[in-house]
Amino acid sequence: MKKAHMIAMLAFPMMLAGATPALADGTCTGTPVAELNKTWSKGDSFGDDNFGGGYSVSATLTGKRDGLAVKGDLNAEASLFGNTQNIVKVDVAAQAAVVGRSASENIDVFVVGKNIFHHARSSGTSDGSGITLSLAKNFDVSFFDASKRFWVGPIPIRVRAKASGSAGFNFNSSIGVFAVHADLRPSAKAIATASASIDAGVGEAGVDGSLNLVDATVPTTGSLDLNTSGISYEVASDLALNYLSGRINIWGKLIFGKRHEKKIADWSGTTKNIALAHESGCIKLF
Amino acid sequence: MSTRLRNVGLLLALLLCLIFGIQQWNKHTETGLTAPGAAATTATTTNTNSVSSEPQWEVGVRRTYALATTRLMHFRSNPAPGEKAEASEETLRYELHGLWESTVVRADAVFVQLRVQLKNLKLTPGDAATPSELAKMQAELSAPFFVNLEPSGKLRALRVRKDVGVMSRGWLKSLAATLQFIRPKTAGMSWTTEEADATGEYVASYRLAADQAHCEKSRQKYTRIASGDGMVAASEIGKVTGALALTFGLQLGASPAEVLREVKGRDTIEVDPGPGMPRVASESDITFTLQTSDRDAAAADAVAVADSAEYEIAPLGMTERNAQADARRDDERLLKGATFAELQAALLAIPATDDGRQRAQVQAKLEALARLSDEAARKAAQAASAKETPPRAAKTLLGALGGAGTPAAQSNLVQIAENKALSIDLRSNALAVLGLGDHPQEATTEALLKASSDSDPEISSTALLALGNTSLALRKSGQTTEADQGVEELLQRLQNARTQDDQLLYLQALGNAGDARAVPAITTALATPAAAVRNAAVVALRFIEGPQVDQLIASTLAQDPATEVRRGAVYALSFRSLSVFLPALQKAVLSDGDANVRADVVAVLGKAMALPGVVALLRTVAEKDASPDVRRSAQALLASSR
Repeated sequence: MKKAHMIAMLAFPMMLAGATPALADGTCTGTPVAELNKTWSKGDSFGDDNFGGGYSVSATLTGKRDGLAVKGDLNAEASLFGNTQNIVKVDVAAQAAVVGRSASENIDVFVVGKNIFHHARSSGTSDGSGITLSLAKNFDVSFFDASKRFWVGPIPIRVRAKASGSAGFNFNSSIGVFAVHADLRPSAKAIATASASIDAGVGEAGVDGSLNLVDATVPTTGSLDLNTSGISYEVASDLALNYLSGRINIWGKLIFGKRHEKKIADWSGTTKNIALAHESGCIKLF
Repeated sequence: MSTRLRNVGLLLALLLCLIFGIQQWNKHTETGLTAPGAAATTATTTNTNSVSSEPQWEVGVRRTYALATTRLMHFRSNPAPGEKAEASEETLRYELHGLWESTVVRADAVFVQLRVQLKNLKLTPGDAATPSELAKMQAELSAPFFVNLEPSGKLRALRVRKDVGVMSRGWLKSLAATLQFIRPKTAGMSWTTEEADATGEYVASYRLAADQAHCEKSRQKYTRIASGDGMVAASEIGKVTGALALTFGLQLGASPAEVLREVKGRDTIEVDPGPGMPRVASESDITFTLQTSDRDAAAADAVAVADSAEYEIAPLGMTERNAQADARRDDERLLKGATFAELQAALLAIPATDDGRQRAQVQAKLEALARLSDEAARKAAQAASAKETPPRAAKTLLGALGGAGTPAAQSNLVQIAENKALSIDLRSNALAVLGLGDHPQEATTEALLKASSDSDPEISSTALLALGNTSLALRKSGQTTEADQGVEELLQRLQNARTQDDQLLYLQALGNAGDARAVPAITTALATPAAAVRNAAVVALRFIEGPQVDQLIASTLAQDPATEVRRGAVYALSFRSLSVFLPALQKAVLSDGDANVRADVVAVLGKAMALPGVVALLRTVAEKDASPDVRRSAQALLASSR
């Protein structure tokens, strides 16, 4: 029954030439470049004709003489009976603008394409004190539903599956004029539940079970320090992933008839902890 | 009206009709009825004499018949092309014995009503029947119900207790239809009529025996079939075959017309609604035999019962189903009688180790209960606001209220959002889920407007986002005036924005609203130096319709120097019809310098593989992309599509 499609994971460590360990005094060496721009990404999708999920995540460090940023994002998809929707998109960023001597945090949480939470704060850092932010949000929501008919014995049963779950993030940052440190933890979770009925109401139908479609969290810690020779950076980003665990059985019976059953989802679950990025170094800037 | 709906309706009608039995029609004179003789819908008199016309219904006349019927039903799977289903069939057998007591309770020139009750009922189903469903069915079939007739004896509808299930209603309709005996307008030995039963409308043929004490009736053909969306021509629905043969025993000498003494007969019917619905066949035998005939002096008192709120009309065709009723039944099935207190206890008992499935199931049930009961919605809001409720549980309660989306659920969420004694976190969460509803109330948009000026930035920003979301929902439901109100507020604020942070917020809110009036402002934002603003701007185009917007998104994908903005463009177009973006997607996936952009495009192309050229494009990417990971992603998509 399972015709699973598994899309290969992507990993794009956008390595720049010239990244080297810093010297003991923090000085960057190597070939100078105009900017630091590193992104680590992964994506995957999984499931079959009935249920599935997917995600794409990335962690990004950027830095130039005029600004530094640590960014993370998470996209999650759920698929019910062939209807695939982007259910959660969480974008988080902590940035320092050297020229304007300001710090900013930006957070957006989209649920099925609708932005339900936005945080944008820019603060002056001219006094050198920097700013900090500690914020955590979690929203339990219903994403979408979809229907499909199944034959259970001689009975056609309408199954309505619903994807619900949560979207959220943890955000801790400390931003100064010449340094950014941020802990970003976007998360998304989607569970499929279902109900069933016989058209015409001449019998009973039901559903047992539920299915975890996708549960993804991406804890990312990123640090950037701008010094006279370049940018020192450090990133640790891991993807904690659990998907397709659970089963959904449907049953139906005509009144006074026998009970017929069918399994429409049966997944043992996959748990992965994927190292997205564990790296530190120093980039010499022009 | 789709064939599918018709087929579903047909199955419904059929099952209900077939299940018990019978089509014996007679009716007419009903209840012992005094005087039948009625003018049928159409009648062709081929002879004179005999069966008279214009039945004289008399309130209080009561007739009791012994009823015996057996039925065999066969169900066979019949999948539509492409559907996965193993060949399967099931045969059900039922027997019913009892007394059919019918009393005329109302009769005038245009309307006749009978009170009917099945007594001493003995229902014998097959071995698979469960005691609970047998008991339920017996109780429903034993409840008094009312039969509405034309004075001719033609069956129009039933009035049944509201708690009688669809299946029982079908049985009762079928039995009532069996007792239809419609007479010609002018006396004759043979005639035809147009009648109706739970399956549809048919042409019936009557032939009176020479002794005038017996009359044979047969069904010539169904002309229209009851479907989920009304009566449709039989020719439009699969194949309906079978035969009905009934013999009526008439009691001669009764004045002014004969009284029905006996009905015996057999009905066979086979229905093949076409692929996608089961083939159903049934064979049934039925006998009604008059036992007693008397008068009930208090018969007219039953009219008050028929008209009471306990009863409702049950139309003959299976037109009782509707989406609202189906949704309600879905919710009731999910709940299985669970109360709010029980669900609240289950919510609080969810262990920390739950992977989300327990919470999702409880939330789905809370949502269903809030849809069914305004009181439950109030209790959910009350529980969410209670200090002793853990925040995690409170958010699940808010999610359930948001998912329910009823006016009561919205009203309770508004109260939470406006309650300054509660935490900012809880209040903003209430605002966020309010914005996810499909049918925002006027009070909801007013509350969001008010909250958008709250002194707390989290409350005001979340309210603005929700205002954008509700504007889109209102426009989708045709409430453009109300939708415009929110959009105008957002446009005004964007115009007056003094900081980039404000710009970003209003662009996000306008993006939720998806209103074309925002395009000029968004276009301006797309030209600003700040990549964050351009990203918010292109994402804000995702729900706005129009080729001009498609072009803006496509050109942003092709030309913007910032990776985050081009990725934003891919996100925006993923909500739109992808066919118009194929050239832009092709260009991006083949030439964008950033592998993350190309990876995003590959993922989008994976949802559009049915479009011409997409598979070939992915093959090219799978072979030639500079990034091995992008190549692998394309290869996996191609492999999964085989």
